[in-house]
Amino acid sequence: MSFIEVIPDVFQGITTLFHSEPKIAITRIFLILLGFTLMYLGRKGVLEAMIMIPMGLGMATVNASVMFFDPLSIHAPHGMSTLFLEAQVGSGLEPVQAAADTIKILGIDWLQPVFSLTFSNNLIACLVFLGVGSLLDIGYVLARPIVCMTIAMFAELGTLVVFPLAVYFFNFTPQEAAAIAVVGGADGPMVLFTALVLAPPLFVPISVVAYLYLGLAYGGYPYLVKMMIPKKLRAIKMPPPVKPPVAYNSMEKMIVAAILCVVLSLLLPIAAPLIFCLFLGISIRESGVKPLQDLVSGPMLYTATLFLGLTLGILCDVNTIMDPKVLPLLLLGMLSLLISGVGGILGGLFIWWVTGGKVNPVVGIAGVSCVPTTAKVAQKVVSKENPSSIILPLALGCCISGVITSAIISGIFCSLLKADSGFLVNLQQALGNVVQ
Amino acid sequence: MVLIKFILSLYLMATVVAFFIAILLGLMGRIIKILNIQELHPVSIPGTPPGQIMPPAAEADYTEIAVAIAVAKRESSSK
Repeated sequence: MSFIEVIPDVFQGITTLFHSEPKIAITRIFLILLGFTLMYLGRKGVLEAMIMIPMGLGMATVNASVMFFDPLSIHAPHGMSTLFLEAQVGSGLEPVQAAADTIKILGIDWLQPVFSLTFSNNLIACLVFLGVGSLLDIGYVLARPIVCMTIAMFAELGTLVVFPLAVYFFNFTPQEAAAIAVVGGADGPMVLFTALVLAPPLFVPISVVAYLYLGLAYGGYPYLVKMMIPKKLRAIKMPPPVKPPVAYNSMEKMIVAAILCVVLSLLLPIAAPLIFCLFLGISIRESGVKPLQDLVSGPMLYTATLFLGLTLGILCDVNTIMDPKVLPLLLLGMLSLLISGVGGILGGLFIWWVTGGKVNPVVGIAGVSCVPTTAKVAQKVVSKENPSSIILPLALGCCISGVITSAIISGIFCSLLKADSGFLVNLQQALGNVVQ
Repeated sequence: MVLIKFILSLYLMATVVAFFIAILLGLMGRIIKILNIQELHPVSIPGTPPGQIMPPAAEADYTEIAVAIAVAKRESSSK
């Protein structure tokens, strides 16, 4: 065999492009370019850089590094895969074979341990929540709980609207529709969690779509706010309250966090891991144990975010994106977040009206959760119109309430629609779609 | 229609829970202020830098802490 003849075997990333169907080859090239675009937009600050830079590079690289390699013989007919990770390992196999395949691939693909041991069991989402909790001040919610919770409930509008749309118009099952609709709650960890519980086969595409859009929300929501709220209202400077706000010491905040964690876990045990991590973060912040706070809000949060972005990027390979269910997911995910944004702004306008114009309606967008991105977006939009207007404390309160309402809705969805739920059977019977 | 009813009931349930939490938060805020819970300040050993409960490991080990506590107790009881 001459040297020229072995060149295709050496440069397999390119060779596999010519061995694939044209639409797969074109999609791979498109995803490489999309990866570069996400990195550029992240670097420019249009999208969330912490997620988009590792995600973009991961997406570009995983689609470039495809080779003739199929240790589990699951990529017929060409047997092409990468050395990054195998998202669908073991699915559809009997348990012993699934376990054997998982053990085998753990020793081959370098990111498989991260995916199997932290991503697909939601640990990474819990770590992100733990870190985010350690950055939150529950005093912001305690200051105006009814206002914050009202706005947060308005901002769940996307979930409310998209669930029936997904069932009626896209033929998703109620469980899949719920997992997609929760994207409107704009809480990445909550979306991962709901997809894992209700729609495991759609777990990968839903998580990719959710985080992609959460990144896009950072760039898109300011335009939505500007479209829906006139400049005069955006510039409102919130007057100081008549009574000075009650200041809570860290001991009091810790007690509130502990009680709230237990009450929410009593009400929604299915969302307890995420609720626990969020409130553990808040408790660590208020405990005064600085080394622990530095650990969870620094190295742990940033490491979890880095691996989350990286894993999501790696999951954006051509096999995932070419799944016929992904296009409707892209549409519904975007719609859900958009409607939630609209709902949040309507909530902000409602509170502005109820309080006689004392609350800047832009805080409404912060009810969409996505801690702390939407609060930052709200303050950024307001600061552009009126640099002396400070809405960040209330916006953060709405953000935290948004996490709580997302947990409530996810918890209710998971409890009602989990596989062994009698309620699900009744619902499916009513829909004329009885499960055998 | 079935789904609309389902999602509206779910939203109603979520709203009730959310407002229960909001009212609970408001009540807790008030009760905690009535109880007048004071900030807890861990008792630090003489020589400990502010904010640290124990001296840095480089300066003292647990034996020294135990000795320091015993000395402090003896001094306070003899006064």
